[in-house]
Amino acid sequence: MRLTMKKLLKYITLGLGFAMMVSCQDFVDINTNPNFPQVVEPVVLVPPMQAQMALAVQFDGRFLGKYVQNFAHSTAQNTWDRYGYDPGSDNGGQIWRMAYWDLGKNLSLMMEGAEKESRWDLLGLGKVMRAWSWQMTTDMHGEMILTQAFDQTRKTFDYDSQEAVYAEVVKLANEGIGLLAKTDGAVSQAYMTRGDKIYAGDRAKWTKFAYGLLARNANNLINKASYNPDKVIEYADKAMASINDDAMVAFDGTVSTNSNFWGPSRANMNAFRQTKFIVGLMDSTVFKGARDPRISSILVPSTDGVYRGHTANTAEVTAAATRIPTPWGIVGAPTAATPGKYLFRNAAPFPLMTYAEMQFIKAEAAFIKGDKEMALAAYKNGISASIDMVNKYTIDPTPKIDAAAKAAFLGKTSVVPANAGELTLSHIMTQKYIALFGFGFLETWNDMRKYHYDANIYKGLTFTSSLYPDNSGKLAYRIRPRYNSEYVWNLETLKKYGGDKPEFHTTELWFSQK
Amino acid sequence: MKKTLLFGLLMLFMFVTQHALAQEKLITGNVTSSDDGSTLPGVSITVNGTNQGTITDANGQFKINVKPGSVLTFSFVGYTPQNVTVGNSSVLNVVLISSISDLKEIVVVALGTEVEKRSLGHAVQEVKGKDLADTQRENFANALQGRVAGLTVTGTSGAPGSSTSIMLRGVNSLSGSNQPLYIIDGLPVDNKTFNTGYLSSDRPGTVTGSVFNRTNDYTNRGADINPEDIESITVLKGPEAAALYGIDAASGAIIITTKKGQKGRGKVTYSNTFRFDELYRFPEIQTKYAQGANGVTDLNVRRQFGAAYPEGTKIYDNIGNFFQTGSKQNHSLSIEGGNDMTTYRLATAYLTQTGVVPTTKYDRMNITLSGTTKFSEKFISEASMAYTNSNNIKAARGTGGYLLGLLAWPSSDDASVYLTPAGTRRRLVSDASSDLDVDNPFYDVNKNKNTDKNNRVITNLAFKYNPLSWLNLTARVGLDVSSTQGVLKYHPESQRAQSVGGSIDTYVDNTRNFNFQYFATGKKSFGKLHSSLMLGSAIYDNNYTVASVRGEKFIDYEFTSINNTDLTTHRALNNLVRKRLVGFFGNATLNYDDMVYLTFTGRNDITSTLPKANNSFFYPSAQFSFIFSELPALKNSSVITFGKLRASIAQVGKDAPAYSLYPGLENKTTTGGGYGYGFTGPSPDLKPELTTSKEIGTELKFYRGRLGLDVAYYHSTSKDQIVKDLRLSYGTGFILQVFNGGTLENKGLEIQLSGTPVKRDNLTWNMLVNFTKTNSKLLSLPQDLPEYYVSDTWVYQNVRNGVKPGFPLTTLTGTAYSRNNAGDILINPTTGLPIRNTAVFANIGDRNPDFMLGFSNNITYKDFNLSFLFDIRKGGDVFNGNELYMYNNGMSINTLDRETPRVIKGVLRDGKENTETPTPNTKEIIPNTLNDYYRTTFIEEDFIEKNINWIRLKDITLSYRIPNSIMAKTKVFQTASVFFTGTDLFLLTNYTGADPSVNGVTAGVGGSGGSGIDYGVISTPRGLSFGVKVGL
Repeated sequence: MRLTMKKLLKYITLGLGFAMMVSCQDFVDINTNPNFPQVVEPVVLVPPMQAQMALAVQFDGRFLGKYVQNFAHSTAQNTWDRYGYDPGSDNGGQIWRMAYWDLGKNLSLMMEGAEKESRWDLLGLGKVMRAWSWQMTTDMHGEMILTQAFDQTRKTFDYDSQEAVYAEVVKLANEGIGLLAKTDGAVSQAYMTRGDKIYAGDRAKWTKFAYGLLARNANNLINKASYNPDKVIEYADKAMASINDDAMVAFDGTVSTNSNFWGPSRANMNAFRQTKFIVGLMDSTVFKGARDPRISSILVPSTDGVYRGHTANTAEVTAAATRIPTPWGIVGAPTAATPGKYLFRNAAPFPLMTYAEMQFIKAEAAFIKGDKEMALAAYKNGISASIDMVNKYTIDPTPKIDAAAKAAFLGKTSVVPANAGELTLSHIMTQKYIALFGFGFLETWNDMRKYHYDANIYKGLTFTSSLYPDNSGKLAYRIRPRYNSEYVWNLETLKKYGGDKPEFHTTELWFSQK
Repeated sequence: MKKTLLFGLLMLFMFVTQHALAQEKLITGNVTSSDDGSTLPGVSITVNGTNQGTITDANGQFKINVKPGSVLTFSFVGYTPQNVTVGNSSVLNVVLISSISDLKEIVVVALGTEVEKRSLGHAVQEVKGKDLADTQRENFANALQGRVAGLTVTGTSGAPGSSTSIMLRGVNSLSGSNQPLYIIDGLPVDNKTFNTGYLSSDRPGTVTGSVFNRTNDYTNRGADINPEDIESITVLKGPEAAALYGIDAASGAIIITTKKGQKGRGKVTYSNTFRFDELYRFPEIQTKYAQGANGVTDLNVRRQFGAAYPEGTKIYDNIGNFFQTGSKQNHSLSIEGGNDMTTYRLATAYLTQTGVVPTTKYDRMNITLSGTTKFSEKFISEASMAYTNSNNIKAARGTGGYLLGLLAWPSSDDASVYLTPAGTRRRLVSDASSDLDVDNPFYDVNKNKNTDKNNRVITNLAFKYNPLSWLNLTARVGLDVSSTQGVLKYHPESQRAQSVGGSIDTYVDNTRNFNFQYFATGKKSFGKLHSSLMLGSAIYDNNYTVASVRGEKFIDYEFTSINNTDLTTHRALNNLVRKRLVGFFGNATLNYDDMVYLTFTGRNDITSTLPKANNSFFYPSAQFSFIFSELPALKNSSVITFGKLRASIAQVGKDAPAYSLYPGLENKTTTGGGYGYGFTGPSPDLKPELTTSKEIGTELKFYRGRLGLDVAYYHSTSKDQIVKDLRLSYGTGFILQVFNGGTLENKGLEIQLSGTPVKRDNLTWNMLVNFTKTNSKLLSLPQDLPEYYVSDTWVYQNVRNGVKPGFPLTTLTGTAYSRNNAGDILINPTTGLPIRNTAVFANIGDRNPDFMLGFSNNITYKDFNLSFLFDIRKGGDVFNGNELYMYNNGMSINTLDRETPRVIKGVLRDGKENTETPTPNTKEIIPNTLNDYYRTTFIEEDFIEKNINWIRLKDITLSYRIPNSIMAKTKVFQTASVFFTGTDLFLLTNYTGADPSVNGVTAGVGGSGGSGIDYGVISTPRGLSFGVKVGL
């Protein structure tokens, strides 16, 4: 009865409205979002992705910066100073988000468009950016979604091993290098430069960037039997050749949303203090008799003019004369009038990869290979390049390092040994640490994990006696995959790797293991 | 000549008058109630065919001059109008029949027309506008709590202009709105609460990203309605409302009938109210320990884990100093009149309210004009226009808001000194660290500006034409147009925006909803079988635009305008959201001998928000009503005077949010601009969600209405839920998606018990008990997802309104203890502290009460009337977020025993925890020197307060009608009354926080929302008001 009646009613109502139905469909055809386009030129997808490449590193740098002891929190009991993690939180998940969402499908869309229009340079750029994002993500988190990534039929995902991700990075980077070499089709620097805010569409520089990525990838594997220092040296040589090749992401710095994450207007470093460790490396404590001229550019003195470092997991000294300022060089919260300093400015660019880093990678590989002369030369180049880079981004009123000061520093044998035989891994790694201060958090952490936080290499490195409760006395070796992405959907997958355990962040990744 | 003419005219006039008077005679009499024989004051008496009329005085007496043979109409609210022909007698006593005992009680449900309540197969409940207006509440929704079975009201906070949500029969949508559709005089009206995701600076994906929904509140637009304009409200509780009003009424409907002018002698009514509000329930803070950490005082730390204050430290009552006595005044004036052909009513009201939080304010002005014109006996038109202007000054709440600021303020510091001698912000701690430096609450409310101004016009025009005796044609067209301007300024010195030199977000939102519906109703009788058929169509066209701009770097620090900010910092966002719906509907009713009723409805909606293949869908309903008291055996029973059994089954579809199919690329605000995908991935194949609801019930009246019982039991299931903002694994390339999937069920029991325990000459006592019990259960989620939550509700630490399959939709999920197989808490052997289970959000609470009771009473003794309403709730959990905040930061009184050494009961996680012989924890800790105990290893589960009960005296009003003998002497006023009203006078509860009935977010947040999450909002103040009402 009910069904019949239902049908009957349906026919009546439909009958009544039948004549109007067709025009109704036109009337209700208004569901196209009028606020934003559905289709855009592929090149206009590039700027937000490149901005996020920097922002994600900085975002997570708030935590990585503490793991590597660039910075420590002004008050005691900070989770990350204690090598812990924030439960149920996305803290430490920004690189994950950058790789899968900010780049993610946008990069796929950009590459599809580039391919369709035979823009091989843009397609090559896409491959390199993807390779870089996978490298960053796996170095943070280890196992990750790779082969199933962006499969729209899936909601839960299996992870690939870190070894597979490392191989994929090599593959993508090489594909990118191949595409960037092409000059046919619609290859055009004029077109690329509309979106490429890093190298303005310069294919040669992107090729160097791709080799730099390969150098990092290969050099992270020093503990593996397969480690090939010659390959690393080859890659480093094909990578950046001067500080003009440094990959810098620009920031306009006019409002908070387009400002450098470390700039005063974003107010993210209010509680950040330079550590005892970095000060020790630069104030001649470690390099005896050699006060680093970069100290006045990248670190900040107290009112009494002395450079001091904060000890992690302690409350800061608040006496006016000896108080450690924020990295902007001020005490107190920044205002719109705070200029900031060095890379910590609203409009300062952010380095993704530098010539100096490449030289230190070369030095390390040459050192392991046993070619100490090559190692020493690269090491010295690295310090020199770092000083030049620091000068480039130092603004008034901080004085630049003059040639004499630079030469004097490079002449100190405690810094640059007179003969190659005296060069140590500690020299290379600590000078690389200084050269990457304030931006190369993940690369520095890779190095520290490769050497298992060895205080013989990282001289002066100490840890709080009160590690985070869940650590059970161990240091951190990985960051959990982004909570709201992976702990919600892929907990079953994570369990395979111990992701449900409170001490998960202390378990070592594949790359640093023997 | 002039004088002669004037004299002549005067003579003529006197002659005519005298002639008329000679034909009329004075009729006197009284009007009494059929219920108890008590006299009825204020009964309107009109002479048909004239504009003559009067009303009964305080003693129910009336006098009127009429011609013999005239027909007098006696009408009074709650009673059936009665026509009496004047005969020879000069005394006319009339007994009016109360509509409670009237077996032909009618209700307004269907598209602004009336139906016999007895014909309905589903529960429907009415509330008189007077009962709502008498509560003196600004937002009438707040007055509904306890008055309707199955209806839950959740206010956001006790602040003026705060949003309020209504929910009927529990949570039926996981992520969408569970609020009923508001209908005024047959047409839908807008009741949205502004969502900050439309702001340039707060849209998803920006630095802030919809956090303002948690830290700010916006009035729900339903609060624009002047409670004094409401004649009555009918509440349709289930999806049967949708058969008439379309898919937007899938969660029920609040059907408002406004007051119309009465024919007869014109009436002017003025009333006023003056109210004082006081906040009297606060979380308690400790005043023993100073700022610091691990037992060491450090004035640069905001948390209070330092040493005990030295002897003689001056302690300030910052909380007490902060809050003020709120006040309100309200003036209402209405003029009405009319004759047989035309009636009109003009009502104005002005309300101004200051809150208990300094600087907060809510002003509202209403002007309503409505009229009815009868062009002929067959053709009637009704028109109304309601204008509202409201102005709200607010204070931020939640994280960074004034309440948490106060709770965290050390008692050794006088917070009321919020400026330095130089006039700049005085800081508590000199440290720059952002997690330590927060705005002083006094500074926050005085220097940060947060306002909304709204203008709104609702028009409604109806034509009713009866070309044939059995045919009625009705058409209604309405426009609901509103515009709100909002400003949120953070002062350049405020901690919130000092790094950018201050910020201002301004927006203008414009709503233009066009509603049109028309239908034809035909009636035909076949002996004892009466039938009616209604066919119609409706078109809804909703247009919503938000234009917002953000600016930074104030030039002058104090002037509040976007024009006063650095031009280069301006960032704008425009959003247009359009939605259209066309519906065709039919309704067939069969009535056998006024005893058995069958109603069938069908509706087909075509919506703009679904893909073409799925956007047209049909849903039917069937209702059955059997008036068994009409059976011969019961017909003349003196015990059961009315008895009805009813049953119904109804289906309803629901559509998706606009632009869910292809959300489009978004322009990005990072350096270089450009485009990229938004959070939400495309969902090109969405189909409508479908709810099927079944209901059975009975309605019984005993002893001519002295005792009444209405019972309803319902069960509904929803499938293919359209779940918005469902979080994804980022491996998909997106963060959120709109999904079809997930099924849930809802069942409940509603009982209304009404009675008149006392009914004597001068004393009547009526009472009504509303009992509500709902139970919801999520049966499955799309893609077998383990949990769904509305991200806005994750306001503090790890607690949110998460729901998992197999559990109620009112669940709270959060961090729980790690336990061994035997259920013992696991302890970290190194620290002696408990181990949390941080990988999974566990079920840690259920906000659903065991039951709710509303108990209202109305006692009339001579000219006195006392009415009061108790709101009672049994059971249901509340997250005491304020306590966790205080505990976490050393301000809770539960941290006062911090110097007492303790061993946490549990077993060590040493590998033996799941063996026969786990190692008991023996490690002693002293929290005073190990703040991890409070700061790091607290468990959210511990802050869910279980089984919270309350008894609240919601409203109590004592009114006195001044006797006619006194009124007659005034020669001006016909009626006058005075009243005293108490609002939320007391609350008895086992909840340890301030108020268990709060909302952690705004009413604009969907799904089960933020009710039962107590974090950073003030409790409900108690208010005392008084006023007078006069009529002439």
